[in-house]
Amino acid sequence: MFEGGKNMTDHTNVEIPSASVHLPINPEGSQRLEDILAEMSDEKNLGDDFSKRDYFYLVLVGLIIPFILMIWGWFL
Amino acid sequence: MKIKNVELSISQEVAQSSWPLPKNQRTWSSWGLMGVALSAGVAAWSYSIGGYVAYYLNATMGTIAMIAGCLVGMFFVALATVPVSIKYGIENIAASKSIFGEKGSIFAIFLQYASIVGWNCLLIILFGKAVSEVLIATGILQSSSQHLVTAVSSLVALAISWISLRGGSASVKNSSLIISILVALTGILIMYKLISTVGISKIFTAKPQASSGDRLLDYTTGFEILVASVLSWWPYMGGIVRMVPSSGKALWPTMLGMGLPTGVISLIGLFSALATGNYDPTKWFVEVGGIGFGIIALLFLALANIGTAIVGAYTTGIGLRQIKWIERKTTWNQTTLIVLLPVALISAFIPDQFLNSIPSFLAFLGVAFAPVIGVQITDYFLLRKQRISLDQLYNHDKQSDYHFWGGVNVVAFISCIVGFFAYIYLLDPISYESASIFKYISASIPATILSGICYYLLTKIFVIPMKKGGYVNWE
Repeated sequence: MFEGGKNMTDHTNVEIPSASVHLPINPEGSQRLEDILAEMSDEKNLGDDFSKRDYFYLVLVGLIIPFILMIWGWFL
Repeated sequence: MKIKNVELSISQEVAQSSWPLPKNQRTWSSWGLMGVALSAGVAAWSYSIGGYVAYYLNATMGTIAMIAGCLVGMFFVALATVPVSIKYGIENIAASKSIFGEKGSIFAIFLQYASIVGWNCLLIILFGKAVSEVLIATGILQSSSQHLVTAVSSLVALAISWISLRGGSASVKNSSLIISILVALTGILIMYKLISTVGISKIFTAKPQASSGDRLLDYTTGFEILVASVLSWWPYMGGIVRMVPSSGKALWPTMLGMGLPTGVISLIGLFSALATGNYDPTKWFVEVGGIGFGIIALLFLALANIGTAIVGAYTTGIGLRQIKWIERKTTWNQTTLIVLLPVALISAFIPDQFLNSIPSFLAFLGVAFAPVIGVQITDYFLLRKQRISLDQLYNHDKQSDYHFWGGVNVVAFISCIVGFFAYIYLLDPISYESASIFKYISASIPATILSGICYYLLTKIFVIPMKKGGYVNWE
């Protein structure tokens, strides 16, 4: 039970590297949040948007193909 | 001491789950997300969805309408949630503060909580019933004990879910990949067994159980059931897709891992209902497949339902932690208990009453989520030009751009109400009576578009001129 708990802790710390110390969330947490906000004010630390090709696939799979399927299904 | 460290670590992680996640800390690959998405997307609630489509459509039209409906529903969910969550590394509740206001985002938390508690009830009750059905079919259990065994099985499944949640996001992801593979394989096996037992011709010649006589109305209703059901993936999305670094990596896991499986697994319910009169395959697991098959099918239900329940409870737990009182006064384990307790009570005491309310629950999802999604897409793409201010999102004083009026963006709520009434006008979620125009335009899609248009106009007319919402920064 305890070993399982330790493994879960380790996994969790791998998932979120910033949670490297077991401290109460405040006030260190507030400082950490400020650090993250400062870090993410740099555009390169933001995630990437859909590319034009991704949007094309999204519209194709999410709208065009279903529309064609519905028309086809009506005549079956 | 170690237990305390685990609790602190999870609390730290959960607290940070409401914070933005920088790109360099996102550790999930596209396949990792696909595993989690499949684990959530493949669940036994789809049987009931397929079963209700069987009221209106035969197998051919039902298959088409369901596949099309789940893809269209997922298109709107993905457009509303993926770009903003991945760009800024935030989950849905945090993102909703820029729309509903800091205090108004309680509404999004409520929607998330209500829908996931509802879905989890369905999952856990179906699992409990499956256990008792298989035990009765094998002769181990007398039918007089069915209610008790159903309740106990449901509570055991919930206990497993609760224990699993103690591990935080890592345990969710690590278990999801294995579960999703097993679940997909077993789903294929169940479908094969169904088709090989009753015969493909019997399935495809069976008549719908409660056709209205109007072919187009039935076709649209079948389509609408899937669109509305898939829109309820909205609360699940942000918390998991933000773990990948680019939107492109979330495209296929979202569409093919969460959206499409809802339609595909629903086919089991559709075919089963048409061929046997009952959407729930647990009714014939043992009868047609023997004890061995019954146990395998039961394992499928256990993995599928508990896996989905865990993902749902995890994201809802994170959502609830955004309420200050809950964050300060409860531990992570207590928060997940708040999510799972109503499910336990409903599963134990009123399971049949809940199952009888499923059609209304499905319609409630469309009523609730379609307007929210319409407002969110309009806000992010048309009004904010795909930019929000993280600093303002985490600025809790009255000077924040997202404070609006007393912490609430009234315009967002008015727009959602317009969408609610548009939906109810088109399709009554209680009686399932529809307006004459419903069969041409469905209900969720027009409600989404109408609430989006309303939000756009009201924001342009009132919010931006009054310098609320931080829109002027992007003009």
